[in-house]
This record gives sequence, structure tokens and C-alpha cells, in this order.
Amino acid sequence: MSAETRRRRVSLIGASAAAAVALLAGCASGAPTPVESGETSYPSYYPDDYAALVEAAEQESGNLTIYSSMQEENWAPIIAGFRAKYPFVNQVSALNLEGDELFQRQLSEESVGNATADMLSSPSVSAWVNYVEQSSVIEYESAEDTQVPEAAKALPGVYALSIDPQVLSYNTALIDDDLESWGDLAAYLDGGDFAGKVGVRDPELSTFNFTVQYTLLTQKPELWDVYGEFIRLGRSETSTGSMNEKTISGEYVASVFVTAGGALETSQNSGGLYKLVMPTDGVVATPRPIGIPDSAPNPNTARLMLDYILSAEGQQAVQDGGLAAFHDDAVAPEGGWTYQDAVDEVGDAVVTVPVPFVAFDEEELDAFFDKWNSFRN
Amino acid sequence: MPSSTSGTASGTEPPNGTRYVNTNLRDSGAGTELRGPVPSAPAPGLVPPRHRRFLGFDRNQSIWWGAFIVLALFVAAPIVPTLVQSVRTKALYDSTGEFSLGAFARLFTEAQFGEVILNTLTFAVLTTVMTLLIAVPIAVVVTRTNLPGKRLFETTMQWPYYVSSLIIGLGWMMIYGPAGFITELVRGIVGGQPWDLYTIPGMALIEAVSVAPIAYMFCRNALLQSDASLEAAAKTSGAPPLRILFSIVIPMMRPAIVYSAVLVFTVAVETLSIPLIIGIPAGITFFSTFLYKNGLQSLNPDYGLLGAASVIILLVAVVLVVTQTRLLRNAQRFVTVRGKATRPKPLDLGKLRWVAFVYVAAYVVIGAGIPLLGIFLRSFTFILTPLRNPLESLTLSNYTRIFEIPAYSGSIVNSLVVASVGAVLVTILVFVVALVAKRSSFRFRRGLDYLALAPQAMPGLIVGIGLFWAIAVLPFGLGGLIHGTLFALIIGFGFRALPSAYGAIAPSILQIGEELDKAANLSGADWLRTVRSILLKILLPSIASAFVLTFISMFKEYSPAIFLQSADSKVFGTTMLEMWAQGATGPVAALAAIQIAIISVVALVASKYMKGIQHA
Repeated sequence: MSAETRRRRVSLIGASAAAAVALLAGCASGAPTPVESGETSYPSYYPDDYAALVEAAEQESGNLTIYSSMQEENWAPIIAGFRAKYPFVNQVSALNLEGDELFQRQLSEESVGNATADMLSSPSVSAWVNYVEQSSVIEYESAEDTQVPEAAKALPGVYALSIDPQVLSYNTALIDDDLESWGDLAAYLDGGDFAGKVGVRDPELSTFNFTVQYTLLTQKPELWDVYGEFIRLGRSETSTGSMNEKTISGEYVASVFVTAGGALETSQNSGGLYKLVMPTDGVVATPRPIGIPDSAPNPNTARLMLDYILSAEGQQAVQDGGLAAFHDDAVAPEGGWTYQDAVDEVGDAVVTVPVPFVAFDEEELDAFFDKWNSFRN
Repeated sequence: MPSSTSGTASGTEPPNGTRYVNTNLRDSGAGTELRGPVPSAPAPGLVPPRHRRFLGFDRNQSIWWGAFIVLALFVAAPIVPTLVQSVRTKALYDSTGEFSLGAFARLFTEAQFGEVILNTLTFAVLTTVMTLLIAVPIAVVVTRTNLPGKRLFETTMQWPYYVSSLIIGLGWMMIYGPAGFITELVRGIVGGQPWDLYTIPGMALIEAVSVAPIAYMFCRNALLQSDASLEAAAKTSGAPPLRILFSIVIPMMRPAIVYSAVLVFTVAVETLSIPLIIGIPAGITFFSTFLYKNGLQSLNPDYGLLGAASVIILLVAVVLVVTQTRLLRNAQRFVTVRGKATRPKPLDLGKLRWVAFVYVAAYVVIGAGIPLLGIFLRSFTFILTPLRNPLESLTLSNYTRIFEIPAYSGSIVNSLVVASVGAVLVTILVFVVALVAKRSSFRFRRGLDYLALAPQAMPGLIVGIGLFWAIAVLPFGLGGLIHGTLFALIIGFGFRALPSAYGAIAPSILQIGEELDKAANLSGADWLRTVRSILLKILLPSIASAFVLTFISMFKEYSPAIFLQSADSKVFGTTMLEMWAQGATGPVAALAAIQIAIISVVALVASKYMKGIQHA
């Protein structure tokens, strides 16, 4: 294996040498050209030499590759806005993989010197922690840093793109009552035979599923009783899509923790059949962090993108793409929520995943899974 | 090394072409079972035919070795990294890993593992049995009898194969799930839950419906090629149609049945879709979902475990293939394409043909038609539920969404490129390999059989990871050129499609009598010439169906792409998965509808084209 190690080192050295050369070349050729992009005005809190960053980005390839666990629709307004602001960027492409797979792929590519991603975005806490342990991100302090809420600062250089509320959904043809909380749902279910008629995220199936439930139940342990009822009656689900579909068909009367943004369009097109509720006793808001790996081929373009995403304009684009923005100025569509809207609506009921991200404690994990499973059996 | 023995062409020893002729004379008709010593001197009175040579090598030998080496490299590329991974403590990229057999120990000591194995075996056995129960009778009645509406069934039987089992599963849940349209209808009549798909037999049924077309196509190929003279003989002796079916037609299909059974069994062991979308909510864990949970989706991905599990499945597949070879040992018994041709006449089933009709129609309509119709309807609606009139939520937005976003429409184009280029390459490779394996005196021909079927045992994701590493270590910077391109996807998807393509051609070859080859040989044709002028022509229908099968499976494949695609080489399947994971079921249904449309056109054009050739 020493040969492999050596090869890996060599390729890493090769990559960084190439990067250094590119940087030098960039500086050399960049110096004499007049600053063109200065037309765009930046907020007063941006650093004075921000134009230099733009200039450095202009010397890069003009492409930006992002590995994310979002979908094209989420990216479309962000990419359009970014390219309008920085016309020298020819192409922004996103490869959308599941939260954990994308890091496995990134680590593999880095180790063979083929890394092509300029930015990584995933909501998976443990995947981020593992990644910065095994590799590293550029610890870039965004020009927007002072404007970003603490809840969005996942790791140094890694900021949330959105903070998405996870909510309750139910079928209004099957449940007459107006549900407002998890407690309401549990009370309703108490009245009849609902075995197999609730959609519940399986914490063993994805780290995201785990994070949502772990966050709620460690910060609001009093909800275990109510939640245990959902686990007992529920079927294991993997995604918002599947829960939307089965709740609408009537197989489930309700689903626990659908992503508000991912369910909103379905809800709005359901003619009132499929209702989303921001529960007054517990909403989990999950940050979706984005960062720049050290191996990024276009780190400066990536820095610009990060600043754009965190800016007021970028946050509105995030909201328009169907995710929940956290910027105070962002406006949600009718019936939807920004992160701030959720906080305004249910106040202290909103719990967020603790930042900065740290590895979960093994013993607490085991205890959590044991307790979760005890309701199943 | 084996290559040193290939030098026979040059020296004083008679070239292998000679052996080939002799063998045929000696074994008369049993050429597929060449065993024992082969006389190296020509039979008295016969002069060995002279063959053209290429650079001093017998051209047949060059082709045999070429096929062997290409196939071996192709198959080894993803398997070798997997074997290495199975004995490493950490991911291959992590150089701090060590060699250890710990992963195997973990696999077998995992508390849940016994139950997982039991579930998986039950599922695989049930799936295989149900698949054969569906596919074999249908292939027989559609191909060999006066079944009403057989033309229509010939086409529609293949539809379930046009979409991935993920889509079939979604369609089934939509229609026959706990709140499905038909379920609700029946519940209204009988009161109470009529059936439960959240069970192993339920899941096996859906999987069987989804894979039955593969077995159907294998059996149909075998039937199309078999000679009707045996049936005619039976008829003349006064055997009734049913007796002919059970004593002649079905036994003659044994190679095809055995091939399909092995293939379906390994698919059922490896498949992820049905276990994921139905098994998980049902709380039943299978091998693939076990790996999914403990592998990439877990808090600490266990690469060693993934590797070890793949090695285990690989071993299972090897055992199956060995069994298959034993079952088909006396292959000449199945030779039904003889030197004399008789046009098959359909058997008259009498009134029984209506029973057959109901059986076939039940599969086509209930198994495939209605669920696919559900998907189709879903693609034109915002929501689809028995609780609302679907006409109230009609929309085209699911389609416009796909065509408005370049990354989505681009993925359709990419898939077309991958599937068509891949299908051509794989079909050529498989045709040559199958001929060498079944119809040559090549010393390692038996190994080709194993090599061609081995890919079936590898879960798609593992294939992706394995190939990723294989590409990474390519010399001369080739790795960087291939990485993330459509070509990488062609290799990965082609690898996965190899066994079914092989299964479409290999059993058909067993059915062709050796006297045809011999006739050609005696007329002075060497192996290549024989292949070109005789076997290629007879095998055209099988080649066509291998092409279509490969095209389809490569068009709908996705799992290896997770590691092989880049932002610019997305394909149909991954787009579908991406949308599904994000909750966009409508657009997923629209993509499935587009998929069915494209594949139907390809299959139709292919069948018309092949008919044209046959009639010419």
C-alpha cells in the first residue's frame, strides 16, 4: 500500500503545484487589466478589496461545479441570479447526490487527484464532520459573515444555504380536526385503529432522518411520549416525496417531518386535501450547509458564489427555488415559510441543529436508537 | 501464463483450426461438450482446410484470445477493487486502512444478519418461481399456439421491462397498495383489506412482474429457433396439443429456463428498488437494504462491509452458474435447429386457448397495464388519489418542468447516447464471447461463461465504486480523460447489462445443430467464416433481442452512475432518483412515461428492422 500512498501524495503535490502556478499566472496577468466588475456595487460591510476577489475569480475557468443534495429547481434561480451578477461565469453545474454519498465521492476523487467540485452542500451533520476530519475546506470568512445568523454557521468556512423547517402534514379528507401540533395528532390517533397509517422518517436510513428526530427529541425530550406513538403506529419512510404521495393517496392519514419547501407545491396543488402545519410544540429547522473544499479548482468563483448565496438577493433566490431562506428580507410565497416566518409563527417551538457541527456522542446515539426502537417492538 | 500456449499456430504442431475440424468429426453433434483428448492428426483421407493467417497467427485463435482478454479486463475492472476493499479496514481512498478479514466477521456476527439472509432467500426463491410461472407459459402460448391476440401480446409482454422496477413498484402501490385505486374498489365490495403488499410474497410478486419479460424473451428466443419437426412428428403419431407442449416444447426450453432462473435469482438477491420502497415501510430488511443502511447511508459508512457483502453475493452467483452448467451438461439434447428447416405451425389449443388468453391478459393488463396506466395518469396530474377525481387536477406542468430545465432534458440525451453506443458494443462483445464459449475449441471457453455471468452478482453501486478505482489507476493519464464522462457510464452500465445480453444469445447457440458448422467446415470454411456465413444469420433474432435488452437495461440503469457520473454526464435514472428523493413524484412519473415512449419506439424499430432482414 505504500505505493498507493506515494501515488496519492504525488498527485496531491501535483495538484497544489498546478494551483499555485495558476494563481501566480492569475496575479501576473490580472494586475494590468482595469477593474471591470466594479460597476456592481457592494454593501458597505464588504471588505474594501472585494474587487480583487472578483478579479481573481475572473481569471479562473469561468465554470463552477457544485456537489449538492438539492435538485435542479432549487438551483435554477440561484444560478441565474449569480450569473447575472457575474457575467464572466459561463456555466454553473450541480451534481445532485444524496447527503452522504456526495462526500464519499468527493473524498474518492480527491485521493486520486480528480476532484472537480468547487463547492459541496449537504444537510448531513455527520458527513460534514467526517469530511473536515479526513480532508479540509477553505475557511473563508464570507463578506456576509456579519449578516448571517449564528444558526447558519455550521463550521468555519461552511455556512447554511437555507434553514429548512420540517413540519407535519396530513390528509384533510381523513382527518376532520384542525391539527396544530404533534400533540393534536397524537390525540387524534388515540381514538382509532391507525396502525401503519402514519409516515415516519426512519433514523437508520439516512443521517438526515436521524438528525431531524435526534434534534427534536434531545432538545424537547418531553415530546418522546407523543413521538413514541408515531413510531409505534408509523411506517418507516425515506423521503418527503414518498410521504407526500402516500398521505395524499390516503394510505397515511398524516406524515411526520416533511420538508416544508419540498411539500409546499404539492400541498398548494392538492385543492386543500394535503395540509402542511407548523406544529406549535416542535419544529426542527435543519441548516443545509455549503462550503468550498481545499481541492476546489475555482476557489475564488466559489467564494463569490458563497457570498452571493448569503446575500439578501441570493437568499431570495434560495427561497424562490423552494428552500427556506434565513435572511430577514427574504419573502416566502403565499402559504410558504422562510426560516424567520417559522420562528415568528411558533416562536420557541423551533429547534435548530446545534452549530458548530460536532460528532455525535456514541453512547447517546446508542441510547437514542434503543429508545426509538423500543416503541417499534 | 496462458498466452504462452497460444503459440501453437507457428510451429510444427497442427494449427488449432485442424483440431476444430477433427473434433467435429469425432464428437458428431456434441461439439458443445468437447471433453477428453482431441486427436491432433487429421482423420485419414481428409486434408485440413487452409486458413488465411494474420501475422502468422491463426485468425480464429486471435479472435478467441481477443474475446477472452477483452471480457476478462472488462469484468475484472470493477471486481478486483471490490475484492481488495473487502479485506481493507477503511475506504480504498483512505491510505490509513489496513488489511483485515474483520468485515467478513462483522457481516456474520451482525445480530440481524441471519434474518436478513432468510428474508432475502425467501424473496429470491419466490421471485424466481413466480417469474417462471408467468414467463414460461406465456412464452409458449404466445409463440407456439393459436392464442387469440398473440400479435398484441408479443409487444405488450415486454412493456414492464421498459421501466425500472422502481416505477413498477410505484405503480403497483398506486393501484394495489393499501390505499390503491383497485384496493379501494375491492374493499368496497368485500369489506376489509383484501390483500397486503407489505409482505415478502407481495414484494416478490411485484418483482416477478417486473422481471418476467426478461425470462419471457429468453424463452421466446429459444422457441422461435426450435425446429418444429419434432412437434410435427408427435402430431403425426397422434399426440394431442397439450401432450406436445408438455413433452416436447417445454422440455426443449430447458437451457432458456435455467438461464432465466439463475439470472432472476441473482437479480432478486441484488435488487434495491422494491426492498427500498416497499420493504422499508414494511419493516422487512433484505440484503440490499441492509447494505444501504450499514453502507453509504450510515453515520459511519462501512466500506469493508460493502465489499465483503459483494464478495459473498459474487460467490453465490458463482455457485449458481456452476449449477447451471451442470444442469445443461448434455447440451446437445437441446439442439433443435438442424440442417433441415421446417416452418413451425401453431398448435391448436381448442377451447383451452381462451384459458390461455385469460392467463396472458391477466399478466399484461393487471400486472403491467393498469399500474403503468396509473403512472401515466400520475404524470398528467398534480395529485393522484382515490379520494379525488383525477380530472380535477390535470396539468402538463410535470412535463414542462422536465423540458424547461436543461439539466433534465440533457440527461435524456445522455441516456440515449449511453444506451445506444453501449448496446452496440455490448452486443458485439457478447455475440463473439458466446460463440467462442459455446462453439469453439478455445481452451478457456468454459471460463468465458463464468466471466459473462459474474456481473449479475454485483450491486450497481459497488460496480460504480469499483470502476471508479479501476479508472483512477489507468496509466498514461487515461483515467483523467475517462473520469466523469459518458464513456465511464457506458463501461459501468455495459458491465451490468452483460449477463442479460449473454443470456439472450448463449442458449440459442446451444440449440443450433453442429452439423451446420460441420457442413461449412467440410466445405473449407474456417471458424470465422462459419460464424459469418451461418451462425450469424441464424442467430439474428437473438442478436436483435440482445441489442434491445441491452439498450433497455442501459437506458434505465442508474446505480453505478452515482460514482461515475459528473455534473455534465447525468442520465435518466439518476435524474429520476434525484427528483424522487426531493418529492417530485409527478415529474418522476412524466420521466417514466417518456422512458416508456422512447424504449417502445426503439424496440418497435428494432423488431421491424430484424423482420426485414429475415425476409430478405
